[in-house]
This record gives sequence, C-alpha cells and structure tokens, in this order.
Amino acid sequence: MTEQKNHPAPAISVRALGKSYGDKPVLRDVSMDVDEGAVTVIVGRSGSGKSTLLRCLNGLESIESGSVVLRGEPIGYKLTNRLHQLPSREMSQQRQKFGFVFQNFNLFSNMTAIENVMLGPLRVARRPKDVARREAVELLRRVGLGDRCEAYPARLSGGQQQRVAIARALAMKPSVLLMDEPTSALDPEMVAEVESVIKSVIGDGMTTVVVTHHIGFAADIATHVVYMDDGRIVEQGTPEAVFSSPESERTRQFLSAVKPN
Amino acid sequence: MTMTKKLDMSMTKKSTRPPTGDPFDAATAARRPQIRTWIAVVVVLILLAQAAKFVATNPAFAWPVVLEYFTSVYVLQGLAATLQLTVICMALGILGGIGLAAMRLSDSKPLVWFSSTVVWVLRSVPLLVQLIFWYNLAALLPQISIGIPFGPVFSSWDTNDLITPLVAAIVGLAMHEMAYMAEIIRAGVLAVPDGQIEAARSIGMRRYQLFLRVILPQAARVSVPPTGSQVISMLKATSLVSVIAMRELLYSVQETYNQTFQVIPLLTVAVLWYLIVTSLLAVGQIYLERRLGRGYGKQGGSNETASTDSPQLDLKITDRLS
Repeated sequence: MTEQKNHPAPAISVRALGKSYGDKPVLRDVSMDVDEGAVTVIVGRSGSGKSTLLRCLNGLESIESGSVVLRGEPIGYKLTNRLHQLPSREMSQQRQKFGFVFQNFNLFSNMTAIENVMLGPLRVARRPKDVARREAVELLRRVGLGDRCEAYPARLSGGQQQRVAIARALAMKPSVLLMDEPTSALDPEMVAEVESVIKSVIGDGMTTVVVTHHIGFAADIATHVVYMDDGRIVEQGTPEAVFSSPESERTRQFLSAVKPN
Repeated sequence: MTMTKKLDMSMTKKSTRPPTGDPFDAATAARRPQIRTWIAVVVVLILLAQAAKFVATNPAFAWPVVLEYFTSVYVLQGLAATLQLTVICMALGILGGIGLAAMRLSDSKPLVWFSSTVVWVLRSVPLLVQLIFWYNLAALLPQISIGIPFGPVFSSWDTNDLITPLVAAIVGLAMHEMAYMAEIIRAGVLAVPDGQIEAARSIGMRRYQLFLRVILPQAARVSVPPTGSQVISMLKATSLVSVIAMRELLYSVQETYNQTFQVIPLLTVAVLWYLIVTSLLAVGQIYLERRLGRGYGKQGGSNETASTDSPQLDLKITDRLS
C-alpha cells in the first residue's frame, strides 16, 4: 500500500474486481475508490457492467476475483489465517451498512409505504416499534410523502414509489447509499421530483454511489465520475475532467450520443 | 347481399342514426335477440323442476327421517370429528408443505432430493392405501422408540397402543396433504418477483426472515385459491378414514343405517352437512382472499382516494388477477 498521509482513507476501495456470467465477463479488472462523503457517479452504456459493479459493492452479487473493502472490512470475505467466504448471517449484517435503491423500486407490494420503511428497522435492526414508526414517518416526510404513509405501492405513482424506496434505504441508517438508475424507470414528469429528493439526501454528506444514464443529473451531483465500457473502467475523475475534456475516444462518443444539447 | 342488408336494416330499426359526421355511435346499437339464451333457460328450468320433483316426492328420500337424524347427537359428533380432522390435518399439511417447499427451493442438494422424494412418494400412493398402511404400522414396526440412532433407547411404546384410528387418520391425511401443499406453496413462492427478494436482501434481512416476512405472505396470496380447493378435498377425504373405523361423519351415518336400514335418508344427512360446511368454507375463502389481496388492484387497501397517476405496471398486474 502506498502511504498517502494527506489523503484520507477511502470509504470503499475496489481492487482488480472481476466477475462473469457464465463465460461472458461482465467486470474486468475494475479498480476504484469511493471517498468518504463523495458522490460517485458511474456512467456508461447499458451492458457496460455498471449495475453489476454497484451490486458487488454491497454483496448483492458475489465477486469472482479481486476485492471490495468497506472501511477496512472486506465485503463477502473474511481474512483470518486464510481467506474464506463470509457466512450468510454476516453478509446480511454487512448489507445493513448500505442503503440500496433499485431501478424498479422493488417496494414490498403487500405492505403500505410506512410498513415498507419500517420492516428493516423492526425486523433486522430490532428497534422498538414506536421508535421505528416515528423514524419512518420522519423519513417519509423528508421525501415529501408524510401524507401517504398508509398507501400501498400500487396506489402510488412511480415517482412516489421511488421516494418511498429511498426512505426505506435510509431507514437502516446506512453509511453508504447505492442507487441503481434511480430515475430510469420513471415517466419524464416524475424524474425531477425524485432527483430533487436524491439531491437533498446527498446534501447531508452521505457517501453515495449512483449509476445513471442521465448525464445532466450526473454532472449536477457528482464529485467523482466513473465511465465504464465493456466491463472496464475506461476513465474516471472529476466531472469537469470526464464530461468536459474526456481523454478517451469511447468516452467522447458516449457523451456525444447521450448529451441532450 | 341485399338479403343481409335488409336483415341488418330490420334489426337496427330502433337505433337512431347519428346526426352527421361521425360514422356511428356504438351506444345506439340495437340488442340482438338471443334466442339461444332463452332456449337454454327453458331447458335448465325444466331439468331443475324435474330434479326438484324427484327429490321432493320420491319416498326413498324419507325427508322426515332426514330431519330426525340431521341434528341427532350421534351425527353431530361425527360432524365434529370430521371438522376436527379437517382443521388439524390441513394445519399440519400446510406447515409440512411450507417445510417441504422451503427445502425444495433451498440451495442444498440433499434437501432438494429429500423433499422431491417425499413429495413423489406421498403423491404416488393413494390416500386410502396410505391410511390402511399407517393403521397397520404395527405389523411392520411392532415397537416405536425414541433414542439415539443405532445407540441407546430412552423410551419405547407398542405401536398398537400408539396408532389409534385417530392417530392413523391424522398421520395419513396430513402426510398426503403435505405433499400437495408443498407444490402449491412452491408455485406461490415462484410467483414472487425476484425484485422483492433482492429488496429484502438489500436491507440486510436473513434468508429465513425474508422467507417468512416477504416471500410467504406474498406467496400466500397466490396459494389461497388452490388451498381452498385442498381444504374442500380434505373435508371430503376425511370420509375415507371410516375404513379404519375412525368415527367421523360418514362412519356415524353408516353405523346408524346399519341398524335402521334407512340408507338413503342417512346418506342425505351426510351430504347436506358436507354441502353446508363446503359453502361456509367458500365464504371464508372469499374473506381470506380479500385480506391477502390488500395492496393489489382495485380493492387494494386504504380508504384514501387513488392517486390519478397509478403506474401502468401495477394496472397490468391487476388486470391479470381480476
């Protein structure tokens, strides 16, 4: 390890991460750091492996080679005298440290908005019911849905569902928030409401990794941008560096293809 | 060509022509007389009347006798036994089915094999054969003991004392039910979208927690209609245990008519009770489906007004279910 005393240790560090589905590689030699409090945005074409990378960070997907480390703690593995996979109980505990927001919201359809938000605190963190409820109401109010606590997901619009999902992800008091294309499944008129909620959440200094197609939004919130293509990180750096003066030809092509202006 | 045109004209005589512009307005279309419907109604009514006359006037039904025995203590005791058996065996069957389904869906190969084999055997052997088999377990296994396998025995019983008709009935019916419920629950579990499971994993739920808290409640909604049929099947299957001298509804009735020789009236008593209980079960099922359907579709849940912008995805699901 190189000594960089002036640079604080990253929240997450990914080293030489590799993964394949069958014989099709989806991640090849991916290395990146996510700094504490930073907003890292991963962009790239569909199928470039960016969602898989995100899901490897909290162990929703297992990794095949390389490593993911959260604040000194290897994800999915344990290093005692030799390296071995974590038992599923400990993996579940690790996942509690991450909030995850899905592209398709994935709210529990048999539970009301507040039940969705309370489930983790109640059953996983085992907080008392009145505390869990109070916190859930507070979170739903924060995402602008204080009046929709008792609504079932089917009665909510896509934008509202995604906001409940964000509240649910925050309910476990995670130290890292992961979002997988949080606005891609939304009708255009609902994108803005979800984006503004995301911005307010990020504004609190939460370490965040977002996968998105929306370059404008990415440029707006990112402190660090990662561009992926074909399972590799092609380019990463500040948003200005990647979006304004990309080094690689592929990045340039991608940006010109998706840029609205 | 002209014939058809004339016909059409005569049929739409009552309809008013749209003023101008629009080609036509479907709301003004004339109803076509449905002669077939009326023929069907008449045929059905005649058949029903005939059946009613047969049931009411045939002396073999002996309605006074039916009435006499309908609420006799002996019959009611049999009915109670039938209901108890149904409830106990159904509960055991569902619990066992959940266990078998969980094993079948687990990552562990030995558990999958075990579950598949159990389901295969229990579904292959006719229920009647299983009942007789359990009842005669003593012939195969004279003693039942609790202890360490191949090691010391802590306690031991005579199988003949242990396997009463009631125990044989419960074991046979529950084991049989378990196999069918395992498949019904497995189907329900497979119907739960992967996203639900991923979401549960993402908030750090353990496997057993997400199975009990997220998967099962949603699987239950899909599993209730077939389980309703299973309860009705179970109610009727209890009549089979009369062959191992377990006193349930059919056995009580049989014992009675063996003395009085009033076979048809007493069978009618049993039939009426089966009909009544089945009807009550159907009503119960409606309420249960409504309860589990909360959050899905139109009757889904809260009293508040539906948001105008309900997403298309959910509408599609509703259409499929309603």
